[in-house]
Amino acid sequence: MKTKIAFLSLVFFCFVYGKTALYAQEIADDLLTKMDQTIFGIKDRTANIEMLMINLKTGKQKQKTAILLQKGANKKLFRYTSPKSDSGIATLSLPNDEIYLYLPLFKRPKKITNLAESNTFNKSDFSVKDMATKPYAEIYTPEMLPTTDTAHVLNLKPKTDNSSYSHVIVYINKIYFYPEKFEFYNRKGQKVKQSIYHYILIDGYWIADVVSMEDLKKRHKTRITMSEIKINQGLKDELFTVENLAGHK
Amino acid sequence: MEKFSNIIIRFRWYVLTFILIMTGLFSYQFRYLEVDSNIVDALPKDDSIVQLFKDVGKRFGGNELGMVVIETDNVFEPGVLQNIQQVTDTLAEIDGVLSVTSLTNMVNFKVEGDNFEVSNLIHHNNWPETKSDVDKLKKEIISNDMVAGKIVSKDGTATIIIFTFQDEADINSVAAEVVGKIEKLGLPEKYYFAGVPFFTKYVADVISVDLIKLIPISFLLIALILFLSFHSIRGIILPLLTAGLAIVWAIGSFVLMGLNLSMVSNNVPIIILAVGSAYAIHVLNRVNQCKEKDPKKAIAKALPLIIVPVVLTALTTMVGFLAFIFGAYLSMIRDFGLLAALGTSYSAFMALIFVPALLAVIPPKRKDAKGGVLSGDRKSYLNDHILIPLYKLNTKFPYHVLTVWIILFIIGISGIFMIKRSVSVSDYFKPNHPASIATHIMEEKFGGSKPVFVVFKGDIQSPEVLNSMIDIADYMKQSPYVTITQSIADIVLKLNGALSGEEKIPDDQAKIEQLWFILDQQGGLSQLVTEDLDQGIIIAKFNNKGEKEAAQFNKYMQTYFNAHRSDNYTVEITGMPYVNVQLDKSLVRSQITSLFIAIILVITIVSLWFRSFAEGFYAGLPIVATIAILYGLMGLTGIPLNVVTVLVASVAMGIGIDYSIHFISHFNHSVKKYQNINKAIEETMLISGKAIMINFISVSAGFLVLVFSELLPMIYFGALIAFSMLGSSMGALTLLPVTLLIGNKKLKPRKV
Repeated sequence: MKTKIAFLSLVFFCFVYGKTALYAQEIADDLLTKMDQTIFGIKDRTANIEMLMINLKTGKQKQKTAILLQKGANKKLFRYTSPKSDSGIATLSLPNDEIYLYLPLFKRPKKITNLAESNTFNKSDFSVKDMATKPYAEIYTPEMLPTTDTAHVLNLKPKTDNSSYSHVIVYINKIYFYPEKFEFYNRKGQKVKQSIYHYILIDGYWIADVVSMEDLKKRHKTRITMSEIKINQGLKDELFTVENLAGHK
Repeated sequence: MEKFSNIIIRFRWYVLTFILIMTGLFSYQFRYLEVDSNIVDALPKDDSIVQLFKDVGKRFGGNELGMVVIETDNVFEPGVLQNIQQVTDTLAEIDGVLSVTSLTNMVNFKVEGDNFEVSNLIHHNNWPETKSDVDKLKKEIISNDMVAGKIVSKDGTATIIIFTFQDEADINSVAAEVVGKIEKLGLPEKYYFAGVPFFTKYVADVISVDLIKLIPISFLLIALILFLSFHSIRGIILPLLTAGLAIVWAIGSFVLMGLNLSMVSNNVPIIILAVGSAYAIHVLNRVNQCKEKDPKKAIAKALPLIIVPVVLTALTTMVGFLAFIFGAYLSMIRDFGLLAALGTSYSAFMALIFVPALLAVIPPKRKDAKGGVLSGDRKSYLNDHILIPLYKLNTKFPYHVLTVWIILFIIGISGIFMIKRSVSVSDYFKPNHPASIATHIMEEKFGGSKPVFVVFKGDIQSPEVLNSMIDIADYMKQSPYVTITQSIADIVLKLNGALSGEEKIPDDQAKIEQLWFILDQQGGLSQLVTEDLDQGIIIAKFNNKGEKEAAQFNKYMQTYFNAHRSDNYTVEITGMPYVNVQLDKSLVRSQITSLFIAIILVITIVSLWFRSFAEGFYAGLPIVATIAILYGLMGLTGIPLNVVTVLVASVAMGIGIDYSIHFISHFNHSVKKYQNINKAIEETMLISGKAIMINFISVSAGFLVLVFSELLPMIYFGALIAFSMLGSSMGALTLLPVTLLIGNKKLKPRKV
């Protein structure tokens, strides 16, 4: 009789535990999907970008400004306005990781095939992969971590082996489901980078207007500030063509 | 003087307690003791070449690059690439490592039509699988002049992984962790470590081993010789205890002054051991020779007789060491002089204060109290087989002895012209040491191991500066000493070629600035250009070891700079070969200055003390002769003058002059007593001569232990000091008595 009770208890606990674990995984998946929907919820946007690169060791700063045009998750056009040397330079990102670069003095735009994992985005602290436009749920498997007062915390593990991070911890706002903070960990489990997001509400959408990324090892920080943000204006596909990249003056 | 002796005897317990407390306090400082073997840190701050060299190191990180050198049959084999990737990842994960550049993570760019491809030089998704893939990859990489000879050897058998350190990192411990982690991987290829951080680590390791292993051996050897000489435990313990206390006090004071041990000053404990034990031996010897039965009376009587020689020898030895402070180029040599002088003063203090106080507490057994010279001392191996025959030789054939010394002196002087100089850090290690092998690979397969930097100050994005970089790099490669160069201009040239089809520096600066938009995406530019783009460098590798060749190359480069001046930018050149040229010049200058100062001061002090210039001159003769023979030996055997062997002559003088002073002091005392020169020389040789012989044997044995060191300069230092001790002691026991005999002919000789 005792053996029977013990066996049934074990089955019961396994069931409850298994169900709970399954339920936790469902919540984590759901949270990450909601976060993706918040980030990629808008149809298009335009904004003036100010990129400030700060060397935390020397205190030296460098600034670049650009105009951003974005349609969906994976069509992006940056047209640089300053410094003077960069004025007129433009980059165009299209689906399937297609990137084009236009240097006005070198005439024709070049297709950039960027296979280098370590490359940074325009001397910022964002690597090319950090700037990826793919939904997080496609790249990472989430795991629930204890929440904070204001945020759900997920531990994101890369689905493939070729990530330079062992895991990423994301803090998702409990009310609006936008990511407030990302912590990036290297393969040794050391925190190497951290990004912090600030949002504003535009036409019912939470849009990040200030993003800062700090490379903790290099002691370098990049702050991107967006102003004059306009969303859902019905930007046409023709704006995101190679011809437009070179033709624009 | 007797009053002084009585005070010590009366307050012996206070004296011993004071010494004990002070020893405790100084010992406590050992916890703060550090070994700093970075030769770059020891270079003078006011030398313009050094200043520029340090500035380049600071701005571009050039002096603190770590390199892992991998040697194998073919680095392009997939298994080897896998291991290079593993080492790259391992390095990147070490705390304190900032960036890692290797064959498997380097970024490369190429253009095909309108496609500009930026990719890893060898992407792990495309590693070769078949032999033909391997051959194809090898051919492709080796034809890439941005990589061949820089990251991978042109024959494909060696590659280097370069890494930089974080600003706040402890370079020594990071270097140690790198070595430990890579060795732990147990990979089949041969791994070596190059660059200043690893050389510094290797030197520091050897110093630590020497301090732990060789000094105790030296202690034991000296103890054994002292036991054989005195046949008493007291004869071992007292000299060694005196020296040990002086070492503790000196190092404790050194640490309190905020100084660190280096590959030069780590010798000092052995030197103090030699000097300190000698002072105690002389005091002990004097007390033992005293006729009084009461030990305290014997101490009180003996001490006044030995104070003068001990103080005088300490003073002259200190002068020998302090002379380094005036002539030294490297701060580590100055520190050596200071530490050795401190140790000498403490040794004299211990010999004159601690030894009598301890003898008063634990009195020695009196052996004999019959004659002036104890009968027990007259019959000994040293007396029968060395000192008495030498005495007979000196008194029977003084001119023959003098002639032999003159011949040796002339041979020595002629050998001086053959002395080689060596200042390169890589020459410190034996040929089979990993540091030497790494240097050899760097020289054979990567165009050299010593970096040369051409520093441009101006607008680095201007076509004029970039073209000048290309021209100067080409000019450098026309000399026989440079085959590999690297600069930002090479990258701009290649990038412009890729985008415009013209492999040249664009004439329009705006174009260059637009190219920089792409360059900004690449890492590693900070090693070639400053963040503000106001300074840039050409990194070249110098492929010759000699300082003469470096000087020739400097002249070659200056000719170019003088003919190609511009108002828009400045060009300067520096690098390890240039620093070595300065170091080389300084070695000779420092040697001449310190030796000249030391000889003049020592002879002056001895002359003043004895109130006779002749005696000052006599005292200096054996030392000058010994130093000449020592240099001759170095010239004839090919032992180079380097940052450690440069110390030998002054150290030899500092320690060797003691023999002369003890001899003359005793001789003067005996002459007064006997009014007979032969009798005076006989007694001096049998009493002071014995102490000199014991000291010579024990000191030489102590220094000879250094021949077991892993560092070549230490081996040479040990052997040369032992040789100079032989010369000094023989000089004091033959040349000095002979000159005293010839110089004091008016005194009545006695039949031998």
